[in-house]
Amino acid sequence: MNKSTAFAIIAFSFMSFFLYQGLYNDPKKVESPLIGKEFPKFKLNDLFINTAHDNNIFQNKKTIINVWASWCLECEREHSHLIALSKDKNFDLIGINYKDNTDDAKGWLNMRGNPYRIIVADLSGDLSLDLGVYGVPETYIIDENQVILYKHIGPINNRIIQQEMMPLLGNIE
Amino acid sequence: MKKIFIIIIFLLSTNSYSEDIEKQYKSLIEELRCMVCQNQNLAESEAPLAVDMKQKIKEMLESGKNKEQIKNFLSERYSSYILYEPPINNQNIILWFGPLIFIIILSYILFRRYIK
Amino acid sequence: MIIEIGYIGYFLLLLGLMNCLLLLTPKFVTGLNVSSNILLSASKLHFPILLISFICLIATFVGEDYSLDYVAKNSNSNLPLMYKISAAWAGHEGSMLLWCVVSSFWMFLASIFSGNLHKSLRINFLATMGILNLAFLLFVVATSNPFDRTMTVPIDGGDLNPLLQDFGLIVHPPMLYMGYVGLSVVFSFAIACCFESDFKKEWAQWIRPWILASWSFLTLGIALGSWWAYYELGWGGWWFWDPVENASFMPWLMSTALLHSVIATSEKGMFKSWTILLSIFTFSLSLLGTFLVRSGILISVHSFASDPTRGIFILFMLFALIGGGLIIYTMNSKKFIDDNEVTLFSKEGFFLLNNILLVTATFTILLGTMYPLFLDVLGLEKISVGVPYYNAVFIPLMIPLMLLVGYIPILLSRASKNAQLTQLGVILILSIILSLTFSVSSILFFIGIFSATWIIVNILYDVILSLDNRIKLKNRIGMYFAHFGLAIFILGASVSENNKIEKELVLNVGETKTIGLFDYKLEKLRELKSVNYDAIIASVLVSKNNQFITEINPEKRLYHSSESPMTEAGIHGRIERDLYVSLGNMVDDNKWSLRIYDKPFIRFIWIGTIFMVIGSIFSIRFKKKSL
Repeated sequence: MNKSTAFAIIAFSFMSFFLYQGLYNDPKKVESPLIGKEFPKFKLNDLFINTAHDNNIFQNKKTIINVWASWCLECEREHSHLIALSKDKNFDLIGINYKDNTDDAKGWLNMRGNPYRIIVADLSGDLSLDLGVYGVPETYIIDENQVILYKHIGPINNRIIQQEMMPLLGNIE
Repeated sequence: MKKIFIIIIFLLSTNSYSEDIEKQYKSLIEELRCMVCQNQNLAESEAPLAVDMKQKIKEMLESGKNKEQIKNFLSERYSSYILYEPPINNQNIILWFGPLIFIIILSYILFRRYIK
Repeated sequence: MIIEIGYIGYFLLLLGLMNCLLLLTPKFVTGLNVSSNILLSASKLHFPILLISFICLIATFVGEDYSLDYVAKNSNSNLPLMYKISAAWAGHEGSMLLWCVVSSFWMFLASIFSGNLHKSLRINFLATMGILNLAFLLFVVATSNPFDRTMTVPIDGGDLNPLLQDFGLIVHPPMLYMGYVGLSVVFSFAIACCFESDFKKEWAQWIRPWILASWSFLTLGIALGSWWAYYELGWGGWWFWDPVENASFMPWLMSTALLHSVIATSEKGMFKSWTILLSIFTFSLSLLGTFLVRSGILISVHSFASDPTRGIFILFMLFALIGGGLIIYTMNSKKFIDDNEVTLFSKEGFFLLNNILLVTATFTILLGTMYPLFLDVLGLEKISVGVPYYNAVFIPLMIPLMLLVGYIPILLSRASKNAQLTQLGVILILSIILSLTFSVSSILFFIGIFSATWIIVNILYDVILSLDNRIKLKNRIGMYFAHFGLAIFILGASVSENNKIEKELVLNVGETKTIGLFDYKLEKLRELKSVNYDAIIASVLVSKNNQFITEINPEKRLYHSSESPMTEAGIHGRIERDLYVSLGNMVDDNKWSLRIYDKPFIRFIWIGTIFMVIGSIFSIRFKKKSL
């Protein structure tokens, strides 16, 4: 076997290895560049009362932030999980109501229950754009210093909560 | 007289100003990826996220931001994946210089083999 | 009766597999005469076996046999008959079977027309084709069987994707496959040549029409795809550097290089080992393209449904076939000693430059297509590589190539140095003057126009000088047409991109707005209920200087089987410009948004490709030489 044959085989094996690995990557999964960065600064009104909120609403504990809307079908699917999560007082749960009609949003929650301690109304979608939101629902976790630890696109379920979110939220009772 | 002159200049420049913005807008939305589509740019997409982004881009252009600033703004939030033109950095150096290196190597091999 | 056809089709696939194994027996059995007859018969038999199987598949579509999973997914009782038939190759499994049928057809032709080849060459040639056919068929039977049954038989099918219910898309895949798979003939021939002690220039002559034929089909297939995207997708675009488009463009570029290199090999016995290597790589890119498109590894508007198992199978096939081919090549390449040496300033020297530029272009597109994947696998930041990158790296490579293309007639004239310089000067000035008749607004635009006029003026000059020399004209007519087609293409691309007008506007019914030279009036809208879709059709009246030009009818269609509406653009197409109207959304009662595109010279793009193919056919016709 001469040099060029050896070279051809090696080069080719490399290519094949890459292609093989590539088969198991999801081409659509893009990591958020905001992981490890601070939660963006915002100033938005509360959904229910006429008060403005900003980053001071965050308490010094791990917080789940959930982006949702009344017109979003998938949000319906994850709602019961959020209600369950709201019962755990080790972490906080904040909602961002995304480009929604306020009355529709309030009515939606009335029918299904409100798991959030505070809900801010992102009417224009500006905060969501700052977060790199693709659509609803999306769920973020920030730590005590408002640093973004985690982002999930789409509804959450038991597997995601147990395997991905709980390890970040710390021990539960 | 001077006032009229100034107003005319202003009107003329706003016209070309908005034309300029129009051109920048068009070229930007063709260079940015629709993040929820199967490989389409913002111009071709009617997805809600794309519509929102296009609106935001228009606002940013009108408030005086340039293309670079807008691209930076979006890639900070959505990652470089949103840019159809890959940034020139250390990670992408092979991408941008690869063709040049390739043609040099190929020319060398073929010339040496075949040209007397 | 219908249920049996599905079983017959499947049975024939298994028969085909056995036939391929039979074909390969000469390699393992001594007694050349008997076994080579088996090989020859099997290589011809494969085509009718697979063709009948494919006809069975079509029959199951026409007969609405939804017990077959593939039929249930891609057809519907309301589908017009024409589309029921074409649905047979609309999805992955059926199109893979079509690939196998086309492959068996090429092997059939190769078997019939190789009678005059050196015996050992012929056997290795057909045996290699046999291995390829076996691999493709194995892939279908093992992972992509169109005759698979469903668990429960649905009452009606899922319907053919509305985008595919279109004539262009009926013809596009078969054309493309004829091209891709034709290249497998060239590949097999190259491999077979590696086992001989030399690469005779007569063999290069023999394979040359096969290269040209494959190239022609590939050109037509790609042109059809581009044409389809233009009128169907509603945005007036004709090339997007989408990964799947790139997957077809790379073999095209390489086979363009190959068809030039083989001229030198067939006429003067030059570039022997390079031509063989190119032959192997060109088909390898076809295979790579298949892999990329069907494995789910890349995102594209064009991807088939993905499945990692299939991906692994194709990857293994890629590895074995290409790797094997490369190993065979590298082990034997030293044997190929050229009959003559090459000087740079000659026809062959220009071919070498042509090859360098085209192969670099291919590499560049490969790099751009695969780079995000490499980064992703390495765990680095995911990036996108799109139009801005490809335009930035591809166009600069093409510019010197266009200059070479134009210069060729002067080079071939073999006139004295001074005569060549005068000729060069005259044509250069003529081209620049002609270019300036277009109002040139940018350097890039000027380069585009100049390249086109440079090529055309050179050709015309040469034709005029050679009018009395029939033999010379006959020898060159293929080249004239092909290069002329290239120039027309460049003209179309340059002018339509530079002078296009694209505007989005909102019109009330009855309102008129002016865009460019034309006035557009939204006259009325009407509804239409067709067999498998409902549509809203707009009537847009176009006039110029108060003179009525035409009525354009863009549509918005909602197919019964789909959730999202589809747009059918209305196009008024003339050679000198297309007026293209796309219906947007209803903004308000009787108020609609429309997209209007004014695209001058855009038809030149596809007309150019037709000239290229005509040129290729002339070359096949007039360059045929018997061994």
